[in-house]
Amino acid sequence: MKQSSWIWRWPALLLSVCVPLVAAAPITISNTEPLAFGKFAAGTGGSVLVGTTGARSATGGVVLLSSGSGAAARFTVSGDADLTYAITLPANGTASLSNGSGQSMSLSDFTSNPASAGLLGALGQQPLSVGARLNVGAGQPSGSYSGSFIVYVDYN
Amino acid sequence: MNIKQFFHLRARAFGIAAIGVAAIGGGLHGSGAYAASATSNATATVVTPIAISNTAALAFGKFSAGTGGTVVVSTAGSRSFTGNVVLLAGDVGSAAAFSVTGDASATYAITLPGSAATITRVSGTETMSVATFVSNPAAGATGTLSVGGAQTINVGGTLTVASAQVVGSYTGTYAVSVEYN
Repeated sequence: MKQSSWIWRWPALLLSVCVPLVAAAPITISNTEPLAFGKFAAGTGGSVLVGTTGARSATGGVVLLSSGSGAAARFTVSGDADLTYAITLPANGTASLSNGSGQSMSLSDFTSNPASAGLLGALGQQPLSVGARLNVGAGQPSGSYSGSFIVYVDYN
Repeated sequence: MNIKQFFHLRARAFGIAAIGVAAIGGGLHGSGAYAASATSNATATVVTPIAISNTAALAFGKFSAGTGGTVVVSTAGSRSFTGNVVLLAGDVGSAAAFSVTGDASATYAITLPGSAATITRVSGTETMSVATFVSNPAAGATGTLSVGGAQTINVGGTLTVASAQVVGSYTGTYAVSVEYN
């Protein structure tokens, strides 16, 4: 009887190691709101910065118009309750907006809230906000510009 | 092998199996098998730059200086005076006009000169100053472009005339600037 207890101790250890790994729900992320830089005049060029709260500011000769405000992109991250995860934002210059006629503006300085690591709460969910800088050329042609970018998440 | 040795071997085998699964599980985590991504759209609207051009000069018309005073031109172009200045009917003066263009229906701010402008006698050095600039729409964040993206600004001002101001034609410039709100 004393020896048979050794037999059952190992399977118990095996299960205790495997169960959390097998049961982890895949982490998912979905986009709920686009990133908007609003309306502005390019002037001598510069940039438009949208923070994770959606607050907008301009550098250089760019003039922001109050009639077209900006907004941060919003995502919902879902997965296993109380797990932490890593957030990967686009590198500078890998995403841009274009007007469909060959003119474009690059995106850089992506920021997010939470910043680089998130924590899924008791319900296994967390909202994620993303802002970025839009680099505007001098005399950037007027018109509507659009594009997209990708945000990655992964369990830590 | 006795029974005790057999159980020990079994135990070792389970132990190795457990380590192997743990390593695979850890490997899956690390290699991003649970990773996910989402694509967000991003948008921006670049508007037509705001522009302003002068289409009519501010003119104080003809007058005699007398012992001095002021000549006032309103944004509507009507002229009045103070002091001893005598306005002459032959040249009644006019308000300046500026054409502003830009984004449809956008609002914008108007900035008039913050200090007096000087006008100088042609072929001379005598001067008079123009101050108290007024505009319609008024200075400040009050301009609104039409749906066609245009608006006219009229500007008036007050010219100060010295006693026995030297006779002649006087000219000078001043600047009006506009910027989107």
